[in-house]
Amino acid sequence: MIELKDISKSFRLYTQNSAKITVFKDVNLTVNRGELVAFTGKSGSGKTTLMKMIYGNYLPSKGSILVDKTDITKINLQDLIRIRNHKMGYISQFLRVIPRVSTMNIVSDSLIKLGSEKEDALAQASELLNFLDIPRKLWNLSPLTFSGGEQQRINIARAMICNYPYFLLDEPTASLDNKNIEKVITLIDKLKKNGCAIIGIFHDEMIRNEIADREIDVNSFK
Amino acid sequence: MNMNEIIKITDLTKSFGNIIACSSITLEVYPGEIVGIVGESGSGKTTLLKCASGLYKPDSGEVFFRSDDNYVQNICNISEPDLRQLMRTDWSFIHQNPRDGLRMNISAGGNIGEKLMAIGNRHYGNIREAAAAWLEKVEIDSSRIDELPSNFSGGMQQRLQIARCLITEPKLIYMDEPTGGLDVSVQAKILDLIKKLVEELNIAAVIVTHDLGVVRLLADRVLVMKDGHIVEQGITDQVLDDPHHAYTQLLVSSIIQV
Repeated sequence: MIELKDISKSFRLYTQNSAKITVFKDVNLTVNRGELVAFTGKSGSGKTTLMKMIYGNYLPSKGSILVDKTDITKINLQDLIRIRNHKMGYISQFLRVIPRVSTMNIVSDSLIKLGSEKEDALAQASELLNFLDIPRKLWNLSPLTFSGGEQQRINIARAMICNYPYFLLDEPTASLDNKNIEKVITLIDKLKKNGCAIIGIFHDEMIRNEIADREIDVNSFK
Repeated sequence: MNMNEIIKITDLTKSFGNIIACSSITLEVYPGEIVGIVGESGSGKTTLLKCASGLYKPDSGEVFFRSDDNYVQNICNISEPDLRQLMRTDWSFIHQNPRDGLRMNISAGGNIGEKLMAIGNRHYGNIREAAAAWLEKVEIDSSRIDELPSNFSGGMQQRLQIARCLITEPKLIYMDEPTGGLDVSVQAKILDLIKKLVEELNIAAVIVTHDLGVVRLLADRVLVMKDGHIVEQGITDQVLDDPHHAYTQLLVSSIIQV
């Protein structure tokens, strides 16, 4: 379970006349295992900011964020890294990888890092890349030269290959065609059935209607 | 003394004349993590690294190092032979200037091989074979194994130094701007190499760099130094995406987008 308690967030921009921008005040929110909560609201309303706070990427100015009853805003960095590595998958729109590392290695490394045998990790990575329609001839190449849609699917594969109990999805389908969107929806459904708690941002209303159990307009947190 | 950290620095201060290079620095590094240190020139990054690795003696503070057998030593006050032993077997220091980390009057292969000999390898054929394999790993053609480092370009010398430092699989790697003189294609290869070593061998690395792109790809967490102080620290993406200190904000907002 993910619980946000009285979360507030403001940014102080020292390089810009120390302007203070308040994004959220007193956010309270619970996301249970097996449900997908979609954040809605127009661009700039703070959907990503809220999601990044749950990942420990942005620090809340006030309040607490509990992941399985552990307050990630109060634990030491090693424990937060451990929670990220073992419990939370974060998929953004953008793929960030070391150049020259092959697609296959990027996807399988996520599992190897969690202690899987190499052979097993490679087999699972192959299966997932196949499912996501990444042509086999690309597997040994770095994804940095791939199309936007391919990069996005590799970003999905490298995270979803791990069975994290929590997933944060920031527009994971933004540059995918309908056929691939259906595949990603299949993967998300499977995660939900396995009891995964998911928070997602999807601009496409059709996608939200298909997979979201609840929608929350982040403007209600202002 | 029990500790989980591989290295633990407490309240370390080091001055040169009336310039305070490091002021009350506290830092712990755990096995399996890469810690980045960023900050402007003269902020004390290299001094901190050199104090942590026994190359400088701090004015005050302690540096505890834990060996494999959980034996903890304060490297600020151990004997010279013990310190040398640790430097040979337990950690490596990759210098910003490869000439500081290489022996310029012996061959490339000798530079790598002597590190293996220092930890007890004796079989010449095996040592030469391992040296050749490491040359290839850092993308230097192994046919150049008998050449002197002075025949190599600056970037190749740096890669040679990296091979020399990594071949013994030390528990802790200190890196001072290791990829500064490298062209970007080789830099990517070296970053991948370091990341793999840390993950596979559960060792630790501390990297000082100006390059926030390198830090983002490589470091699990990052410290920002200014005027001898750590002004901000946290998980790498948190510090880079949501910097709280004015100096970090300036640093992050000054990156040129490509």
